[in-house]
Amino acid sequence: MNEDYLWDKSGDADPEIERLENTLGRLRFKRPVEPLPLPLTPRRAFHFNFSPALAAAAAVLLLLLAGGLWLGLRPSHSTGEKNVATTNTAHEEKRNETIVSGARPPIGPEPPTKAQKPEDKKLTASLPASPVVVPDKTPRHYPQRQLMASQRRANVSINSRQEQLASEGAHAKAQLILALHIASDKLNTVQKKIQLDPGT
Amino acid sequence: MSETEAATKLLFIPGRRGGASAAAQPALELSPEALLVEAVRRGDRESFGQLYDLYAPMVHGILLARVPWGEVDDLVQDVFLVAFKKLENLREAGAFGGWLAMIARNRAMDFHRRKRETEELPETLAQKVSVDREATEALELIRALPEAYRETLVLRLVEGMTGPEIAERTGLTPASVRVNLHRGMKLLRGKLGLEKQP
Repeated sequence: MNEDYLWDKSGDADPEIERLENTLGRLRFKRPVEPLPLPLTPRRAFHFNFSPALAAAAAVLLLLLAGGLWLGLRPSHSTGEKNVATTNTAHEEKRNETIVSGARPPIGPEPPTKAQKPEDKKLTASLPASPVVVPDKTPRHYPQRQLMASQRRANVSINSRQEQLASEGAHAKAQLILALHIASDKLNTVQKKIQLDPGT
Repeated sequence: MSETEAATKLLFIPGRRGGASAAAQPALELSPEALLVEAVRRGDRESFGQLYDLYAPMVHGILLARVPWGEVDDLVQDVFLVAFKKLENLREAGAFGGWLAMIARNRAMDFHRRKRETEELPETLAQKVSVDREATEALELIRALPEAYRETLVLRLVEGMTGPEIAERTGLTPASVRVNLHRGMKLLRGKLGLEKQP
């Protein structure tokens, strides 16, 4: 078999291949007399060209938005602060409720109850001095001066809490705006790159 | 020189392969077929006629290797109509040949799928025009070969294209076309009883 002739019809013609060419050549394409019935215009297709830069910019934008939302919706900066604040607030609220109902809040450390065993005393002494809310079920009576001082403390605590929340909100808003600015700049950069180099 | 041969000589550029390399070339070095594709995209319908003249033998050969001879002419028109409608989807104008070949292969697969879904007619009824019996028998022998060989052999022996032309048009590598031609021809000789005994 003449391989050159089979490959590019160069060299001496292979008689067997020539014979096959002549036989099968009868089935060769013949251009039809009628022209191809083409539609009026080719369909305009929407192209979505995947661009790594665009994908990265979109991912950054999403991350920034998610971060901004998280910061905006988060009640406080740290969990510890949050717990302490919650406990304090609960403590103050409890006190206020007690004041309104005419009950006396505990003054100084809680005296051990009669039912408390020696083991419980040891356990209480070993506990850290943290602001833990102890349910106050015994009816007590406040002097007038202590009542007013307690109300003032409660009001100051609520006001400071509101201020803290407002400042956190403003901080989160500022961060969100900054994130949106950065994302917008990145998108502009990517758009310019795409416009400069449409092949990518 | 036939019309097809003239067209293939016009298109064949030695040392250049279609596909990804075409995109890296500057606009001034676009191949003739890429220029025609760009012209069609700008609304020049005459250029699509030229593309049809240049690529119809390849599409015909690809279909002939897969579907009955009597159905091929209609399917060739279908393939070019689909190509015209979807030309905007083609990203690289230089890869037109490989893209068109893929449309033709898919169209042949669709033909067989629809044929299975509907009533299956004997192949003799599907052949609208009577053709030379010897030619159809030889074609059947080629179509009984593995798929990798039959398309290349039909393009070479029926459509009269050379190996480099087949590679250039279909987007296959010249090496794989050469191997397919050689092995396919060896198998065909065996089927024709022409294989020399050692």
